Amino acid sequence: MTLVEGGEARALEVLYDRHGGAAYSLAHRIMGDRQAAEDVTQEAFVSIWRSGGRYDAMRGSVRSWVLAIVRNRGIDALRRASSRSSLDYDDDGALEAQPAEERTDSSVLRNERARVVRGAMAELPRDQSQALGLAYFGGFTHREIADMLDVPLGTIKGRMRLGLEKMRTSMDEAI
Amino acid sequence: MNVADEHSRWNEDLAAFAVGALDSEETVAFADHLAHCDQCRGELHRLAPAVELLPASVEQLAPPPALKSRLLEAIAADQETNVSGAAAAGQAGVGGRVRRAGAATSRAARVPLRERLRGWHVPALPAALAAAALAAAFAIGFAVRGDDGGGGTAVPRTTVPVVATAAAGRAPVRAQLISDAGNWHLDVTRLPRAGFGRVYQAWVMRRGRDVEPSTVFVLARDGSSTVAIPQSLAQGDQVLVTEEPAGGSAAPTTRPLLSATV
Repeated sequence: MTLVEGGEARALEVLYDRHGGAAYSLAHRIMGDRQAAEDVTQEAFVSIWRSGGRYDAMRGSVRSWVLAIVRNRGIDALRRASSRSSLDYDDDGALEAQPAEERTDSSVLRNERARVVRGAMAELPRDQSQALGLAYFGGFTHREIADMLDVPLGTIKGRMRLGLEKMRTSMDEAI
Repeated sequence: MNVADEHSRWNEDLAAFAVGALDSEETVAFADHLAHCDQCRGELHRLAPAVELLPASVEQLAPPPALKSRLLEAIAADQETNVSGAAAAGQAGVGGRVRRAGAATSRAARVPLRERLRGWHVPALPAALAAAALAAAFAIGFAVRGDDGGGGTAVPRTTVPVVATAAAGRAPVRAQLISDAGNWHLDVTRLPRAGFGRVYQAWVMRRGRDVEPSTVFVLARDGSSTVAIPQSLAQGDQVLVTEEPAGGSAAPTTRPLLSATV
């Protein structure tokens, strides 16, 4: 990261080699479209480049930092195309929509970890995973989600909190 | 509301904050609370690994190889723009990230005018029309001054109105073309960011002559730029601004967004 801060293009290439797959995968999950996912991924890495790689090791791993940037870029892109109806967002559909040819051997290991994590999410009650998914991947605020699902705001807050608590517990048990 | 109730209220929003589901005002308020609440910071720290699992939960896909190539090209173009910009800004003595048109763009001077203006419709802006243009919806004119208002040995200063064309949409652009002692520069503010991998480029168009490439530039974070125009300009010459691919173009490839007639 120090080299990225120093303007070393090669350092950014290494950063992309390490985290580009996860970044693209997240972008695809958010955007639900291959071309849009490419655009978001590229924008995210260019913004990392232009910002001089302002990574703060105190605030988590490099991967988490990169993915947070991708997520922000993706949500921004979704909001720019704000003609979307909140009810149009398919919280379940993006994964199933991915073309099979994009799934390569090189992603098997990452997929194995993802499978375990998805298992933890799958154990969540549907309403909790839905609230978390709409917030994190859909970029909706808790008020928007409450309106969308026609439930009280406090209920959405509770579902998010319970969902995160349960995932945290699942992690502890897995370790 | 006692301290426990107050804390409980913030604590209810903690998960929404963690997954980015608070609106902007709520986010600012919560962050402010976090700054002096050890208990909420501790809770957030405890839940952070769960939040980090969310992006890891998506199926992992291999990005197309072309994506990496495009990214590296964009980075290279960005490097070139910044390095050249710093040099040009230093030479021109003006601020902003500026880049002089390079050797590649100088070839444009050999491209026939008609070919270069294909698809353009940029009527010259005679002085008589300037005032009318200022009143138009897209006009972004400024008062025209013959000098800097000073007396004695003041350096002659000319300010020319810049008009945003329909291609600029309804962006609230403000711009002026200024000559200080014969050195021209374009001051631009509120210009939208160029598209990804793209830059802005100035052009000089003289009556009956080819379009000449001028400065390639990008905007500062606040959407402004001070763009040196190295060419000498005479009455009737036009300065145009288009959006071009990173590195600039040998000939204009898009319709002009801004136009100024000296």
